[in-house]
Amino acid sequence: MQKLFFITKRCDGCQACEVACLEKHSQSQSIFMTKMEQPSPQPRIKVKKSGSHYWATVCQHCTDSMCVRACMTGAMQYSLTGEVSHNTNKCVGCWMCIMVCPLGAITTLNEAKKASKCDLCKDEMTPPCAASCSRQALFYGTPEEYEMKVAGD
Amino acid sequence: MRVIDMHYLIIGNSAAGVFAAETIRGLDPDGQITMISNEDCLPYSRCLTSYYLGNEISEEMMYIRDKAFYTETGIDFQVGYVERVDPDSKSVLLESGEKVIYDKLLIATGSSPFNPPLEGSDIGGIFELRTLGDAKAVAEFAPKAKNAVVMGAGLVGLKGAHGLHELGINVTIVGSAPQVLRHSIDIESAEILTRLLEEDGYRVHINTRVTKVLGEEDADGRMSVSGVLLNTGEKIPCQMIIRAVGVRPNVKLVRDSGVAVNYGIIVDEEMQTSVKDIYAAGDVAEAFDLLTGEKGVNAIWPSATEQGIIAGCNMAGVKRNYQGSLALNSAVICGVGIISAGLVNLPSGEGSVLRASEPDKNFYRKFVIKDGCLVGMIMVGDIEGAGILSGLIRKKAKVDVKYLQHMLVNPIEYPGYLPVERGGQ
Ligand SMILES: Cc1cc2nc3c(=O)[nH]c(=O)nc-3n(C[C@H](O)[C@H](O)[C@H](O)COP(=O)(O)OP(=O)(O)OC[C@H]3O[C@@H](n4cnc5c(N)ncnc54)[C@H](O)[C@@H]3O)c2cc1C
Repeated sequence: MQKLFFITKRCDGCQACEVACLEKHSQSQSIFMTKMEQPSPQPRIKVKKSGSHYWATVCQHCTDSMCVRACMTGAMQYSLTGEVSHNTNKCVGCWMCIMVCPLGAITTLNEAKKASKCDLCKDEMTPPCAASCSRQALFYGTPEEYEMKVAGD
Repeated sequence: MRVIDMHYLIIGNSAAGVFAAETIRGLDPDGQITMISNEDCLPYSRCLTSYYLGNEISEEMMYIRDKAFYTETGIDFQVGYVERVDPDSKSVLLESGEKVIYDKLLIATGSSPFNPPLEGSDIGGIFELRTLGDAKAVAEFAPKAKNAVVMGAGLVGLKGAHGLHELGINVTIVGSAPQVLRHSIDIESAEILTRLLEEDGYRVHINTRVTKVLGEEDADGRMSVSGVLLNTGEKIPCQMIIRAVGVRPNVKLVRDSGVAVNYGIIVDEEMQTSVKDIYAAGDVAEAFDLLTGEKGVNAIWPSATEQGIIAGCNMAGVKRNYQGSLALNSAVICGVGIISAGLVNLPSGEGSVLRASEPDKNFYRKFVIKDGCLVGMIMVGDIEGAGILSGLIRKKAKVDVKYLQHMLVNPIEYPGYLPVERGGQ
């Protein structure tokens, strides 16, 4: 299973990943139009300064996911390839997933009464967040590929 | 020689049963899995009955697994009511007289509404809210009602009240405790919720009991609810009642079987009961609390699924220990989110509390600290990041109090490392 890995020491906090995610998850697919959209789209990755470094919070698609266990609607489920997929049609906005995600990687879309989290942009070769990261602080790949990558750092 | 496939039998096709079955299938592709339930339908979420009642979701959305669930997972689903478990012959007896044998048995029969005796409770127009069938019955009757009384101010009562309110019915909530949601939140947050409910047109009576149901003959000559009498002497006119004062584990099927029962069916760390090869999980199981170690039933969806997974692993021969149940609740009341976790009300003199409150903004946070560890929390209003805190509670690590003080009034964010004190676990 491929997912997003964050390499703290490479991140300079530019937030290009957030912008790319926002655009990708907007109806207009244009960053300039997102401000006008209702309900307003939200990025599913969030970069924050934490002490002297930056930290990007994004769903880690855990193998024994707390959110899948807590979800009372069946909206959070494992896909056949192991990612945690979120079926927004089934979601009722009960926030049970938010109650348990230890990373805080799930947010509320209050107007829509739906939870929101990284879906890995399966229709793209590389998720736009990782593609837009000029410092390659976001790595998209399997855990094995990530291990090799970090070992080479 | 061919190894004979294991036969797993699961009673109950809800949260605990489904997660157990999926876990077993993942670990033992060839084992034979049979699920028995007296509810003849796909697995659904009873947490959603109130949403269905309030026309917020369709029946289709109640189901937590799709039509192909039983066939894709190779589960033999049988409709039936299990009358008795017989450990000696390793079989269960159905109401129909049929006998089903097992190698490993999971009892995931959940709980049922508990209704203390009440004068007039045989009158028409009185309902429970537990099953999809209950929700359909309430929904069918609701158009005849202008006013309703919900007995019980716990989660099921408040959710049921919301469902009726969505239909335009005037709802009065009657709870015997000094606050709403007494098992999951504190008095301060309960006051915020009560005010929100009243602003939205609900009437909320706390510290109050229904002592009698009043009835009158309807057009067809049947007795039908016309109101309730409270212990305060007040009469509240209504045409329907939902009883939601509490639940009891469905343990009848193990009576005299040797399976030890206290309040629920007693289980060990592997979710095994006192009888070998018989496991229990979910609302029916009495496990132990993660924080206090005390035995008890934690009748919530996330505990049921987690216990189902643990039971499934051990039944399939993969040892996995349960860490204990954590009280966790999430509700949305009048559009305002409320999440609580762990021990939210410590006995006075124990531990310390951090609190931030802005009632007019529907914002409230309370963190309960004991021996340097976060042991409980309540969040009202902005609930994002709640899982970071419940995760810290689960970790039982000494927490950096400065971090908690910051989190009290700021957005709760994961700082990239666990905000635990040096020298902590
Ligand atoms: C209205 C409502 C709202 C709720 N909201 C929430 C919420 O917001 N959050 C939360 O965490 N929890 C909530 N809960 C609680 C949650 O639904 C339960 O904790 C959960 O369903 C427990 O799952 P379970 O698998 O243990 O048992 P159950 O869901 O009770 O399922 C047990 C199954 O076994 C079957 N069965 C029982 N006895 C037998 C027998 N002898 N033979 C054959 N079959 C049998 C039953 O018919 C049923 O299908 C709510 C409950 C209700 C009723």
